Amino acid sequence: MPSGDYKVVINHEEQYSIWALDRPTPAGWRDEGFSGDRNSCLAHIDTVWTDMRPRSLREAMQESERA
Amino acid sequence: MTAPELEDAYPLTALQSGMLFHSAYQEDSATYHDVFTLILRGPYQSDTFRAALREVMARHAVLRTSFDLTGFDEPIQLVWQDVEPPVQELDLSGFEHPGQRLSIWREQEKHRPFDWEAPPLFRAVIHHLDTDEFALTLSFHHAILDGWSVATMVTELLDRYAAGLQGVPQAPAVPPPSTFRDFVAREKEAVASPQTEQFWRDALADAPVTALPRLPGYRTGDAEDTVSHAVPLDDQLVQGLERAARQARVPLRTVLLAGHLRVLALLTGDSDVVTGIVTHGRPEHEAAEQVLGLFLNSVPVRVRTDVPSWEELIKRVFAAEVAFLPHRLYPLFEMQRLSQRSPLIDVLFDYRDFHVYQDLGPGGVIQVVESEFFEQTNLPLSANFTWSPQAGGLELKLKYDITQFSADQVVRAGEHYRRVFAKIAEDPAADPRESEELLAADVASVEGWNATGAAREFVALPDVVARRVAASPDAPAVWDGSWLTYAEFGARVRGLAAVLREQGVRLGDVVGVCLPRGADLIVAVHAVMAAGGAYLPLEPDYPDERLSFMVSDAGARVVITGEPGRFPGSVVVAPSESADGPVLGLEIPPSAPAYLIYTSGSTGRPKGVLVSHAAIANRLVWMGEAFPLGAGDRVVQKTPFTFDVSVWELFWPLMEGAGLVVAPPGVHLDAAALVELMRAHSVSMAHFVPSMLDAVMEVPDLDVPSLRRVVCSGEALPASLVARVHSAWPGVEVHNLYGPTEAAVDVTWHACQVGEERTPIGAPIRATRIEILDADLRRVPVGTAGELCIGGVQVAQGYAARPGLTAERFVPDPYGGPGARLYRTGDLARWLPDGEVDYLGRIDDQVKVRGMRVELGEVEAVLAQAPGVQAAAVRPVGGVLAAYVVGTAEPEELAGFLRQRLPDHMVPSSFTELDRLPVTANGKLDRKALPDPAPVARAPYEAPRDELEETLAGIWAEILGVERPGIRDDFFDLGGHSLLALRLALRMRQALGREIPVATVLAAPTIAQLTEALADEGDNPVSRGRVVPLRTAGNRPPLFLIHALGGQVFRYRPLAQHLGDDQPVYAIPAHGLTEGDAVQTTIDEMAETYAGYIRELFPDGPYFVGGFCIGGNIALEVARRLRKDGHDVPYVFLAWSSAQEPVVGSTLEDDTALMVHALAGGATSLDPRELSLMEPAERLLAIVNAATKEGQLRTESTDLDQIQRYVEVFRANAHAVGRYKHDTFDGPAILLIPEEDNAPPDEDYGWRAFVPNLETGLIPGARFSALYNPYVTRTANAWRRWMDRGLEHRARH
Repeated sequence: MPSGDYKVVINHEEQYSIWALDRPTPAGWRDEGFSGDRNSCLAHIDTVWTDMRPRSLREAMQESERA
Repeated sequence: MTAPELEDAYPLTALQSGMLFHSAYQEDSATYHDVFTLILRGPYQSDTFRAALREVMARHAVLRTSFDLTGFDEPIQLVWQDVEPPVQELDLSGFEHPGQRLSIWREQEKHRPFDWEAPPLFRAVIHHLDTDEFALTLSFHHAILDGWSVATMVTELLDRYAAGLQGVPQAPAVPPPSTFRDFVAREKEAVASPQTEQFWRDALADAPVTALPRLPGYRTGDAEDTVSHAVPLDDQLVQGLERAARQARVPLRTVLLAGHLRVLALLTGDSDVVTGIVTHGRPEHEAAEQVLGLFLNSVPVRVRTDVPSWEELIKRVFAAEVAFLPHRLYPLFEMQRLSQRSPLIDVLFDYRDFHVYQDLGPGGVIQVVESEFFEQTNLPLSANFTWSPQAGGLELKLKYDITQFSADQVVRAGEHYRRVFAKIAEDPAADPRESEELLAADVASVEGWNATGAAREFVALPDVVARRVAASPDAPAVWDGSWLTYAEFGARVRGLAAVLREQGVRLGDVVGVCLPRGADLIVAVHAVMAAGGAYLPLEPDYPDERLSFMVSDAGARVVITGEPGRFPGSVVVAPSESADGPVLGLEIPPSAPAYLIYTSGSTGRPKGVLVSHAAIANRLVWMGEAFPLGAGDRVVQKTPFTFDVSVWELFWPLMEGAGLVVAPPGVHLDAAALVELMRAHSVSMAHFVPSMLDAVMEVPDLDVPSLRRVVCSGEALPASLVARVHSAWPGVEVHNLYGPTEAAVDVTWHACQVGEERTPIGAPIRATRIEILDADLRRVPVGTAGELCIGGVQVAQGYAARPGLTAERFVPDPYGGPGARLYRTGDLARWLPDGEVDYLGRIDDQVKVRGMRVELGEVEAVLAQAPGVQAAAVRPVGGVLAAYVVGTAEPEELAGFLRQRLPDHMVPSSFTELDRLPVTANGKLDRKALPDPAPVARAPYEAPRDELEETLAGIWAEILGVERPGIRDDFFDLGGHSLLALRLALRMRQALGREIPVATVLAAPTIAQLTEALADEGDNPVSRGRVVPLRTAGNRPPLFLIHALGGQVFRYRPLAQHLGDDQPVYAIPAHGLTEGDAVQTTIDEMAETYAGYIRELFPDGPYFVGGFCIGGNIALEVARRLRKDGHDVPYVFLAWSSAQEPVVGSTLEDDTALMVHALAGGATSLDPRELSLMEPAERLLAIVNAATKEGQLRTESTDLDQIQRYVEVFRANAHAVGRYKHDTFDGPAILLIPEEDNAPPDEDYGWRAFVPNLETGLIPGARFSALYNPYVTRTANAWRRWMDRGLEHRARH
């Protein structure tokens, strides 16, 4: 993996990942706001991504519990 | 004519020596033999032409030069005073297609060697084509002339000739003031310059070796057979490039070089690239332009191409060019020595802006109609840019070796050049790193291969199984000692699911399952899913500590187990707590997790992979479509459920209504018990990890009549193992699947075919995409290695409770739908041109040795083939490779074995013997657990024991610069490399007065071994010249090719070169070709003698024998004798051989026809009646003259005595075989029919009457043309497949 800076990105399922800072963010992803070197991006994700269930599952589970 | 007198003598340049070494190494190849042909319109006058050439020769020393490689301390060139112009004239004007004749002649000319000691080292050949048209060919060894010089020479020669024709007086033949001798001196200075040496040392220190990817079946190494592919560059494009050059204030060449480097970065998947660049060392003044000679050098240029704009790349390239300019005379060979790397470059960039014969404008006496330049270098691929005066524009020709690259691959590379240049011309400010547009054609292919369709409509697994239970309640479902019916199974699942719900299990909860393999386990995993949970397999054999780590890491509150005491903090449920229960009717959404499987993590902490229902449902539905199962099918469940391969065994058969046979615990490790279980239960489908399959193949009784399908995954599947399975279980399908746990078991599929040489992992399955990406996650071209990444519905949700790690491995998919993720596998793979994926190993296992990328797996695979080696592992230690071997082989022998098969840098420096290789818990090689390598032993000094060893030690000392080489010291450990090995072979040849192939030095790298090897050569059919070894390396059964009419065997050489590095090939020429050797006159006599030679060389079979034309007839009789003695001959190859009429009848009846046939291949312009009236000697001469004149002479020699002998052998062969009637031959034989014969499908040339087991196959071309370009590669591939098939049949019987 080349060095260089990354940004934290997030998709519609509220799943997190990282992407090269100088490249356009792929469709369906938005910048979360954090950027830095690779390790600090991953460390940041470790602290903010607390519920790893995809959003659709979270909603389905809430639905199912209500039922 | 008197003998010419010596005028001058001086050493060779490094490039000249290098070329001569290469020519010596590949004696019959066309390497460095250049053939330049001009088609000219105008009158031809012999005397005038000779006079013009004589003047040109008088001016230029190189045209009067010869080489003496052995007579002096170093190789030198000798310039002679008066050398006769080497003009030959051939008349083709009587032929219907003189152009065709000319190209056949050119083809042969490429292989007509020069005698280096006989000046001049060029030939000028005139072919008369038409009344007013002739061809001038200059055929020369590249060591005397470079391209510029050829252009100069032609211009000067034609100027003088045209002037001569018109009677215009010409300037006297005064030599140009600058000479080639000066250049030789300047090169020597460069070599001696410490600044220049330092420059190259620094430049090469950590440079990568940019090698273009080879597809499976293609080799690496020196070029053997080059052709060129023209890439059209239209005027507008060239203008755009010129504009970019002007803007950047650099020459056009720099812009082209920048584009070339970008293409290399694309093709290698690495932005740091090195190319060779052709430079010339002519002094920079006008007079120097006129000198003829070889002023070239190739130097490596390294550029990092990852810059944000083309402009910047161009500037960077220009800076690199400017930097090396003062050091460009330093020879490449010396650089290879400095850097200990050979080859240093794989690809060459050559830009030529010649002043070619522009003076001969239209309207002159002589006009150039067209020109053709054949020049074979030893580089595998070169990009040649030429300003072509005929085309009036810039031409790009990609010259490539057909044994290393496929035409299709080069055409695609040409497309990359075109797109890169278009991009530069269009917008020099654009970002060159974006590869999408540059790879448009590759992208279209990849997207086509990835168009695998959408997932089928989602139905959750428990619902699918419940439907089966309802549909066929009485069918057998699960066996573990006795059968559970579907109804019974369904009831138990419902019962346990209800208990789980009562214990609070809800959608998405993880539930542990800790049970031994058996029906309870099957029920448990189904019940967890039915209750809406995701199961977590907990292997009862694991230590408590690991189990409790997994339970807590995964957050599993409930565990199903029979050992409640092991899970103190959990809610524990017994597997048989309830026999039945209600239908829950739970709706499970596609994104709900189905299972959580732990895999080992690189940091030592296991990581749990969470896989959704949608993912696994897709995988299982695909399987049902790919491998339809019926109620009668039995599938064995034997994979431990902690490995994700077990998932399909546990669920899929029950989704399809088939029966699941559960192997008792432990049986999955016992091959014999497994086979017994499969037989007892009529199992029709089973999965094996390849290493287990390998063990199964060792089981003596493999009879499982019910077996229809074997599925492999988990490790690389060797083609040899597939072949064993195909022969042990004929008719059983073998499928190779690939996938990581992180993408729901498998994502690619390859259905193995019988006889395949390599087993790819296949194409993506439904709703799945494969991307091969570089380190920046950009696509790489088809054929280029990169990281295998997986997109689509099967991508897992991530690693439980590991957000950072999940974010690192599951990344945005720039090529998928919005918001989609790609899983980066860490596996190295490439697309094959047919849309399948080829697995190359783990990226972590890819190491660099002396700048060259090495796949450890590749070295291991070759090492494992060495005699005495059972298993092998390789790892890098301190910049070199260390090998570990289980078995009984000597390190020296292993190194020798590898050196014949792998490039130098891939040969490990040490070999450590181990009792067994360390493996991980999953049974895979654990490289990290390999011990420190055994120290590289420099053998204690042992003095030479006799005169021969004394001589050898002297040569070693001289070549290696080592003071006192011991007889056990390894040539390569003392700093030797392949080029020095060439030098060693030449010096030994000179000192010992006998031929010593370089291969001998490679295989026997100590003085003691060399002495032995030389002694071994003693008395055998090879040393007696009765058998010609065409390729000696390899462990496969040898192929013996018998001569055709005339007894010569040269024509088999190209075939032998293409049959594969591991295939030994020998040719048997007829008796009688050398002076004093008696001809053999009957086929029985020949067959008896030849069979004797074969057995003398290889006492035991199997052997392949075959031949073209009557070679096939003789081979059949040879095979008859070998078989009679109990040896195996898997195939006799009858190539274009006839049992009906082995030799054309007219040849036997009419000796004139025979001679014409023998000498000119059947046709001359002579009148046969006139010929038949001549005396035999006169007739021979007439035919030889006519055939020579027409360029059709079929013998290798122009010596009349030898021609006479050849005709005698031809006549003896023809009469021996001509009317021979074979007896019945009951062995296997294959008749190869040339395609252009257009034979009906049942054609057998009369063989079937004698050979009941005859098979037939097609070879390309007509008559013998299958043995030559462009057909020989195809012929060899087919031939190799037939040999494989022969071996396979043999294994089966």
